[in-house]
Amino acid sequence: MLTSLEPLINGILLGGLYAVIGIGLSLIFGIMKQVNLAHGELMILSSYFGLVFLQLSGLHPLLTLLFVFPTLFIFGYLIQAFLFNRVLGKGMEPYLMISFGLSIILQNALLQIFTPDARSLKTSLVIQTLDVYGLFHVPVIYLVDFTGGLLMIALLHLFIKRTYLGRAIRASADDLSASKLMGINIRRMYAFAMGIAAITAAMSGVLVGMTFTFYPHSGTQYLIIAFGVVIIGGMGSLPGTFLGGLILGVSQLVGAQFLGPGFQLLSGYLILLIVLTIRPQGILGKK
Amino acid sequence: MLEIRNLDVYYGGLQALSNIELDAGKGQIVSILGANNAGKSTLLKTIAGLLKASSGTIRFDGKKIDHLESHDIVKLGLALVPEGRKIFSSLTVLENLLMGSYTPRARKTKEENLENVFHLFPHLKERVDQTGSNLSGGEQQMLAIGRALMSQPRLIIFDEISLGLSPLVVKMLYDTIKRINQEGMTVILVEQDVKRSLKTADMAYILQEGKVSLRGDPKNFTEKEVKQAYFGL
Amino acid sequence: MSSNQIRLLVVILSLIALGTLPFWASRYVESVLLLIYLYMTLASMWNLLAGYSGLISLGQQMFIGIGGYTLAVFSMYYKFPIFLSVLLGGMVSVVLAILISQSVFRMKGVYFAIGTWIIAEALGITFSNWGYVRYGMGLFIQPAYKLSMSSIYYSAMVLGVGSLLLVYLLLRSNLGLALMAIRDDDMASETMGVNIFRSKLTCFLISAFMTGLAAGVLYLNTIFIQPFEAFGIGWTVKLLFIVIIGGMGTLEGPVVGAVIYVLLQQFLSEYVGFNLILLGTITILTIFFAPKGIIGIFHEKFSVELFPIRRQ
Repeated sequence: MLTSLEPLINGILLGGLYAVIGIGLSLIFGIMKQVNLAHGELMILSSYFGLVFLQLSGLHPLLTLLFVFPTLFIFGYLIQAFLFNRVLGKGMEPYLMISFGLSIILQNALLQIFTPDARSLKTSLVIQTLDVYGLFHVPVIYLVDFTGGLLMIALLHLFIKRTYLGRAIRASADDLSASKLMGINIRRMYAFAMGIAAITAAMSGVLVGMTFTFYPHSGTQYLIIAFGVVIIGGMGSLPGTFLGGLILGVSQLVGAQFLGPGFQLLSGYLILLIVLTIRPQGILGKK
Repeated sequence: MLEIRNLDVYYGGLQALSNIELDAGKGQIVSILGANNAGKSTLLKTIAGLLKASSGTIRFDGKKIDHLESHDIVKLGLALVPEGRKIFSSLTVLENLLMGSYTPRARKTKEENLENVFHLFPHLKERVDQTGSNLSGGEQQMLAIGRALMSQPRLIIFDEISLGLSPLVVKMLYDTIKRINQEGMTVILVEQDVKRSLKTADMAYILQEGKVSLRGDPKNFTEKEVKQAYFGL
Repeated sequence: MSSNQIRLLVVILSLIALGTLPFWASRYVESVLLLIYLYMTLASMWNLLAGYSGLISLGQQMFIGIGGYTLAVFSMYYKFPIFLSVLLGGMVSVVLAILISQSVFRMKGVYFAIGTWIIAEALGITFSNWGYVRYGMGLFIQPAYKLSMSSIYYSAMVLGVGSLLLVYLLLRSNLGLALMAIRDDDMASETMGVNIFRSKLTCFLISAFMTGLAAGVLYLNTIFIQPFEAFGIGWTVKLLFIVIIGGMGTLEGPVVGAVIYVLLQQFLSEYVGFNLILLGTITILTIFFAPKGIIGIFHEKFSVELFPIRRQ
């Protein structure tokens, strides 16, 4: 009987990972009031970087994060500084279209460089499952994902609460012109924030690469997951994002259980569409 | 301390300020008055770098600042307490004040500045951990002023601080401003309350439709002159 | 001759030239123009939403997929006449639009964009898991084999010219006034009695219909339909490119953009992979340096509009 709990438990664990995927998107929306449509690609880019560093160094995939973190931070900083900062104050449409264009460029660049073959950051962790008191099975990698996710979110929370830059980020979300009067260089701060969002993408990208196979076009489904997490949990709410991750993770796996594996993504999408229709600001979000 | 010459500013497609000339000497209290939409707020925002002038110069302590961004102007020691207070509503009182000391120079002396602010506004010390949105109007104004002080300015500009506050609170704020000024701070005040403004200031400028219509020592102004300068009647 | 008469003459002459094209031009030229008409239609409809109704949709491909599959299913399984099937494609698209409008119109701005994208993705997944349409393997639209190039050409031309005419008339109608008013000031127009919801919905339905029709003719031409391609985001990438480069919110923009896009496609057909990268890059650069697009610049420099929409 308890094996039917498996999708629930695994969904929760996966939800931890999903929460990290969503946190980067939520951060940018909270600060800049914009949705970065290239977020999924930042993630998958990290997966591919992980692959490259893995092949170059032979290190354990998790250790490749040492290289992937700084690489993605710089990348995120640069795209904000040179792309998005150019359309600051011009409204939602230019930003949306530029981030969309960027996502297409990244997707197809990855396709060109790495071919459409399925990839993965394989380790023995992927195959191992944990036998919990003989009641149900939990893939070890899911536990790693959950822990990694939790860790990242906790670190981010500390950063936002305790550091000057974190406070500056919160302040600019409250009142932009007053922030300028405090001596905050908004452009530089946005670039920094994008760098941080990229770091969260790096974390989730490497974890995803270790958990699932990925392709150059995988970015889209993860963007939608990120969006789903943020919508369901609410933009601008850290605990909400975690909750959103959990709900999405559970609905995906439970959906797959009942409807079949082809519909795993679909059940997530349906929940998301329902929430978007009824309450776009999310369950815990502020309007 | 502050010198403005030939300033023209456009806002929303219209000319908001024409040929503004203004001086604020070190240690002075300078008052800027005028009817609504006369251009007072526009002038302040331009000085603080939130708006850009189309022509003219602004010098702060001899240095040209009209082409600088706000975050650089604060670093030089010019702080604005903006209209509507604009405190950070999701941050606590303490965090708001810490935000004031964001610039590297101010960060070095932040403990000292914090002490000074709490000395001036003991009320804020009591509410250190409350979030900005939970404060009353008067407390928010105190916070906004305290925040500006944290940046270790040499000139502070106050934009309409008495709006929506009780006379008692306003008097307290003005006493505080006088205290700050006595300690050497140069002050620019924009006020709706004409009488109070003219009593406190060393120099006054009255704006009408974007132009300076009257300037001088407010003790010498006649009521007729002031009315004329305000409305052109 | 007055400028209006000159315009009319130009239009009539071009229509005659294009209308008789199959008789004097090569098949290659015919096929290129065919594509231009179709992309013109798709882009005009995307522009109707994004440029005139303020609805940025990243899911317009849902109507392309539905239109194409309706054509395939009705002409193959039910042996309907092929052009009737194309028409049905347009109609089923409208039905889809009506069905989702309740949900989708509650979403504003970026939510609308992503919401429409998700619906398209969801449909793609559904179709690729559906045995009736042979899963992800796709369908060959057999009846289309028998069609002559000219019949497809003329259908495309009717759609292309028709869509331009449609948008032109729409914008000069009361609906058009409403849209301009909404574009200038959302709230003010609402107080003046303009039913924002109804205006936007009408545009949404019209664009769904025309997109479905255009998809039908497109698949008559390519003859093979597959779910991930039909419901894929690639369509939006191309339409975004066309509208941005041509000029969003202008009537002629989609035309110019479509011409550029189709010609670009022809020249780059060997470098398949770099195609989308190039499109994305050019789109971004255009947003930076020429946000109003080619026609937008044209309007500013020469204050000439080929098809004046504002009433004089």
